[in-house]
Amino acid sequence: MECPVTRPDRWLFTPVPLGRLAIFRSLTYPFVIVDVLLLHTSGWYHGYADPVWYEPLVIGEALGLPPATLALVQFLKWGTVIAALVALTGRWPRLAGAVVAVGWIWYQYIAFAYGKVDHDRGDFVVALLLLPTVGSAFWRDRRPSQAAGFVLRAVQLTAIATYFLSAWAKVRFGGWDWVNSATMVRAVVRRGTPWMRWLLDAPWLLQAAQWGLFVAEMSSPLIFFVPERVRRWLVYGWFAFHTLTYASITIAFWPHLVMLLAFLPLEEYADRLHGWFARRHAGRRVPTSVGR
Amino acid sequence: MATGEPVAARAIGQESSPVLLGRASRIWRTVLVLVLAVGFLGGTTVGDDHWWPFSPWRMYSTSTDPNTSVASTRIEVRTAADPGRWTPAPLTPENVGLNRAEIEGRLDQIRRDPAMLATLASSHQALRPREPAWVGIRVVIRRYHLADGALTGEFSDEDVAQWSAP
Repeated sequence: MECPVTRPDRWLFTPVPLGRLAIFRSLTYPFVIVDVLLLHTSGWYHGYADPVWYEPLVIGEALGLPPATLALVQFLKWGTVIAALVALTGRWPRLAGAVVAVGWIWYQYIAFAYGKVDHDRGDFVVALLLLPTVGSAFWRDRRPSQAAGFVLRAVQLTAIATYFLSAWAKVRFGGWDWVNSATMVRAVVRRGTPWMRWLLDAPWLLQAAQWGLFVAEMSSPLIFFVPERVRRWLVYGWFAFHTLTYASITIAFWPHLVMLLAFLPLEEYADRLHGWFARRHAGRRVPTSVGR
Repeated sequence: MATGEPVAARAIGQESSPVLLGRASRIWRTVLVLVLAVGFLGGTTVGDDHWWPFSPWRMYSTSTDPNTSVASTRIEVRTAADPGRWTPAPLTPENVGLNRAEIEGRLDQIRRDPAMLATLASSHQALRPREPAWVGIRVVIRRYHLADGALTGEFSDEDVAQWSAP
């Protein structure tokens, strides 16, 4: 693989199979639908909130975005869902993808312009903006493509920036003392699940976890310098971390979890899955020939 | 028939040469990445939540003193059905159109202008038309006390603001 430091131009445009991008799209656009309809619905409820609570963000002031109304949130919600369905079919990937990007980002804006900004959606914004820069891509297309490689690289970079810059934010807002503070105790008090409340009797464990998390986040950019095999395990490790977080305080950075998939050889997984189904299917038709 | 490698055999373009980008395409993409990098780095260094999507990734970034208290904001309401009694109500988007953090961020403003709380009653009415209307709302901060990072089991309540229907 190209080195990100000595040849950043080549590294940024390392070709990947178009099929990988196609599968990444097939995971991203359904997530958009699930997110809009089920996971992140506060934007829709802001259609019911009085405009007195509207606190425009910089981007909203620049673009003159109005406070939410019920009509606006309905339009954005269903417009985004329909566009995501079209994008999923693989038709008009650039147009449908662009409409999804605008609709979803505006819908998030409405969710965040009432005083509470979630911090798990930066990489998803980047992904939705960049996915339309690749034209048609199909699951079985193994042609290596620089355009596809660029999109996945940019998503990887933003996903890792999420970790690294959140460590930076801890230093900025919490100070270097953050690692020794009671931040995780506070989190468990406020939203701890019943089966994780025992952690409150072992505050030292939570403090150790804070040290571990901080070190992992600070060193997260190293993922771009390790061999491919190690890289995959690091990604699995982050998935394990997010699973534990969800079990403890029911916070999951859903869009970010989808973005982490940009690191993985999705087309190989799809091949393996397909091969497994094909063998199973063949085995059922001619049960004696398999020899099991 | 052999069932091995059914997929690879049907895959397109396994051997073909990469689909490359032209010079102009690479340049604007590189510029875009640099712009995004400046946005995210700037947001984390000097920005705040209003910079979204370039706002700092500050989830749980603040320090909590192990010997202080953890505050949790709640609302209590009086309903038209039982106007004499204060009962806790969920501070959720499904119930009032806003969530707890959004109310917590506006406590100073609510203190100055408790009439703002009336809008929560109207939102609740629109969202939950079958439930009894709210004729009074008060915002209470409950503080759970900590000692050496552990809960002491004690808490104290502070009334922030109160509104009653005229």
